[in-house]
Amino acid sequence: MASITLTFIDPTGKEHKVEAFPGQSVMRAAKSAMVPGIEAVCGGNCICGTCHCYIEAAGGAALPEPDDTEAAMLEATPEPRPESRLTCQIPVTENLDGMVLRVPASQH
Amino acid sequence: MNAPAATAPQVDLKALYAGYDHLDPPIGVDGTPWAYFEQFRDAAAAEKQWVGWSEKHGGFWVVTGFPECDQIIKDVDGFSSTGVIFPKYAVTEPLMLAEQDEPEHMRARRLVNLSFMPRNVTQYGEAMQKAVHELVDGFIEDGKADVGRILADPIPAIVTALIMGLPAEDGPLFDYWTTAITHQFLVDPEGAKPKIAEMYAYFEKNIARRKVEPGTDVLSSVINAEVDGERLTHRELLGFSTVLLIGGIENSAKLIGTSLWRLGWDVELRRRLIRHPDRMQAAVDELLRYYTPAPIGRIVRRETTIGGVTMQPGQQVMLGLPIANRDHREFAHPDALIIDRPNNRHLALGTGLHVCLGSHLIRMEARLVLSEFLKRVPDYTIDPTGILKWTTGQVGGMSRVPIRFQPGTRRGTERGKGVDAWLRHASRA
Repeated sequence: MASITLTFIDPTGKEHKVEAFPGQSVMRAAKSAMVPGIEAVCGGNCICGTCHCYIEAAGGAALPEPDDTEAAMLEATPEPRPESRLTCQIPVTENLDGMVLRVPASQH
Repeated sequence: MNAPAATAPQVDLKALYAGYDHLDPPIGVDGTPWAYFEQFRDAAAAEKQWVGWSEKHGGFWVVTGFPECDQIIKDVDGFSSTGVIFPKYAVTEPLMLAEQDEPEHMRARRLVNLSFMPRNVTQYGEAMQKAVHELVDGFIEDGKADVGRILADPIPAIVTALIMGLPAEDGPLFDYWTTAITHQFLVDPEGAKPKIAEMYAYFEKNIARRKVEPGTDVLSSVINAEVDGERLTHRELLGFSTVLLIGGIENSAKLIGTSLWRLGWDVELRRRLIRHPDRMQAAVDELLRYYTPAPIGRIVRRETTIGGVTMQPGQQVMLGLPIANRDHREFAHPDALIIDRPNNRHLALGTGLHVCLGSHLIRMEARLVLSEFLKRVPDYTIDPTGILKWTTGQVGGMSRVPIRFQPGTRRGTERGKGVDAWLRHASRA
């Protein structure tokens, strides 16, 4: 199986290359690698909005649009942008390889 | 710089823990319990002992440190929410969400969560603003008012009526029932019982009506919400109605009351917020941290060691959030009210899976009430001849805030039924 690498740019600008696996969420991959700024306090249930990231480059994947719940949560984040996503709602697939995500300055 | 002074007066930390009663903290000369909370925090910090045993209410662990509270709240397997409030409120239906554990909690939470997101609560903003101006019209010509009783108390009751699709003029009833559940039952359980039965009967009727004639209110959407083919049961709807009432009214009223009191004497803060209304949202969060209205309880499910203390299954734990939100290990200059505080991760509205469902609503409510009030009464002082009152209990805050100001003129908007009913209620009380 080809390995999947995601790049997170933390709030200080530092890059973190993270290995991810199909079946987990992008948030889980970030948490496993302890990427600073990804809090995910609700554990992936789409109720806290603290795993928010900006997608800088989507790799080879065309991400499905956020559903209603995620879209509503994103509006509640401090600085939502068109490229905002909750990483707990993105399942890791092989074509996410090369994805670049920027962690916002604050999740609160 | 943030560490407590080494010369802090000697206090017996063990005795502080042993005497800790979240329902009845000692009130200081400023009329609030904050000197006590700060002294407690300093003593805990000096001995690095953030957990202790209280002898009150049958004995329970008290947690005063931020990371310790944070860890317990997030550990939903190790700590049960069934002990969120103790001694328990006099309600016969479990408090939906607040008292539920997994997986029931998450099932219910997913059914109601969307209704409380900003996009759904902003629809009430206009009605909230209107209610504030109607209430202010009621006293603006007098040059004095108790803005605890006549502004902080009614607004959350009026808003709760709105979001539940109930008649706004029933607001005073909600106040009456909430007081029975949260205060009267402690001293007079027999007197509180019929009021609580009356409340359930009222909700029964309302739920039945909403099932037949759904409206655009939150309760209607919750009644009809479906996730994975599941809906809330009738008992859950009763429990949910009660939670909306208790959670929606008490915390908001105390936050707003305490904030109005602070703005009454903190002229610098008031001027700043008038000049920079865009800072109000961050200010509300800092006020929530600084004057955290409520602690929350848990029951230990799995033997866990926290802060050097091993807790046994079945033991009660009270998370002293008013103290933990002043922990210098998390907050620089914890005893300074800094409205621009970066990354303010306070726990006043909880965190993790159980983070307050109404968190967006309470923030919007407080922001709108304070902003609109300051537009009408930009300059006021606490009336030294009036009576200030800090209400203790599960939720604490300023409930009587007498103020004086230069009389202004009414806007003359027609008074809504909710405000009208409240003014009659307040004049009798």
